[in-house]
Amino acid sequence: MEHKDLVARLQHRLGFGRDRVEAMLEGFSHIVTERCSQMDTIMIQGLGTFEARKKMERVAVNPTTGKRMLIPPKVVLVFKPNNAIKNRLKDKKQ
Amino acid sequence: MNQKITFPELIELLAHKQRCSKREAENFLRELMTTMTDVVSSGESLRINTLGTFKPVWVEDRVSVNVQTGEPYTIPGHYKLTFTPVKAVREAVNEPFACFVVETLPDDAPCVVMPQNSDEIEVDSVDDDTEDVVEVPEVPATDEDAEPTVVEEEIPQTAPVVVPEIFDETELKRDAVVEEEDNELSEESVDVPQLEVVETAEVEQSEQEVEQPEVEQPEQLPEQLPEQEPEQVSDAPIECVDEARVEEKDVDNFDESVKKAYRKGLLIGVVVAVALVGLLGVGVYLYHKFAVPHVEVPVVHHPMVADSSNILVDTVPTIVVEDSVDTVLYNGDVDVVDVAVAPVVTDTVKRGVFLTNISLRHYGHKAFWVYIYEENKNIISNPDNVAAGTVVVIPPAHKYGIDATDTMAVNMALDIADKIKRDKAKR
Repeated sequence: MEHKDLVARLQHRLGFGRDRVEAMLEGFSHIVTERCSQMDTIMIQGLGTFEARKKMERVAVNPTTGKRMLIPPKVVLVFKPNNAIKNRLKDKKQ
Repeated sequence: MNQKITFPELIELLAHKQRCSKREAENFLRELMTTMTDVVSSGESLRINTLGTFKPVWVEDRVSVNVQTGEPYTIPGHYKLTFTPVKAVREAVNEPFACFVVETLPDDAPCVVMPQNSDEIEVDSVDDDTEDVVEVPEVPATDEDAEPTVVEEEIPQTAPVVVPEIFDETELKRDAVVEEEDNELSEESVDVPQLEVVETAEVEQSEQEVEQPEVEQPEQLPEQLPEQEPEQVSDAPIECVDEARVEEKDVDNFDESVKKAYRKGLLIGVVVAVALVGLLGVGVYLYHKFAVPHVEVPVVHHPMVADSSNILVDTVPTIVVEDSVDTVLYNGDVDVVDVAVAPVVTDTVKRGVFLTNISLRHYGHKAFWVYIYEENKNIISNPDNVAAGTVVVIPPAHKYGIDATDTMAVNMALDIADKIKRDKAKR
């Protein structure tokens, strides 16, 4: 589902204007980004968890050129779906 | 930091941000979450432009092992939810590490910094491992000392070469000299004069202690000395004085009282430094005079050293070779001009060490053991079985024309070895 579909559906369900939904959605994203930048964890019941994780630096090899590269350490935003979602996805067959 | 934000807190934050009531925020978020959950768990991907993409990916079957029983089993293929944040979010989260970039490593990126004189260290360590070596371990140190001799401009550093056999002191001395230089160079620091004086005084002391045994000996030697050495000696003091002058000029800028103190300190320092460098120069001069007749000797135990300057320095330290002092045959008396003048190199036979091992170590080829045997016939009865602890005299290489690179010499040695074997068989 694309962004505009989501917005449309929320518009329909909430009876808000499009701009309003967009603004709220952006606000939500912003909160997630901001808090995760501070290494906070956002836990949402029924959906999952947004958290920032530190990754160590590592050496990777470019398989085509064989060049070794040093990947710097970084912080990444990860989303862990809760068990219900995970299991429902798992049970799905290809 | 490291807080856990729950749904109610999130509602509050959003309400605050959007300046709307909590109820509105809650409604919105609940609706958002249910929609997201529905969409995501139905196996559809979901894209939020301001956050990122949630997308289920197919994970193939893979074989794994039951950790309890050790039985292999396959994990069936399944979907897994992935979340890819958009660039803006990714960068915002990674901000503390934003300064890093991916770097391509060179193919031969070394993991460990190699020591500078690695070959020497190798020799050292190898010998230590195999057979308690007596003289070789000292070679690296002397070589270090020898290096400065090649570079003739660095006079303060050549100085330690004067007396390489007294290691701790020379080491000390060199450090002191370096420190002294440093002090001379940093005129701004207030404690320069005292420091300098104290240190140089110390240095001079050790210097003189060290110097004394050296100085008388070489006087009796024939005058065979390389041309460069005297130049060095004469250069040294002049350079030093120049330095001193420069310093004094700089010091003029300071105010009068400080200047006086400086002057005093500097003067003493400079005088001591000049005296010191002079002494060192003389030492170098005399040392080389002393050392020249033995040029060939050290090739014996360190064939890798081809440089004559290194060899010069090699001679002396090898004199001090044994742990057990009685066994040292130090023939350093200078009035004997014969081969005996050269310090006699000895080695102790250890368990599991044969003459061939010793030969290999000293001459670079094991065939030359015959000469060691020849030299020690009186103490070695059976060359195939030398008692452990026997101290053998290692003849200088030139005495028998020993040259590991010369096949003729090697063959000759082998012939002699055959002869010795035959003699032994006869007996």
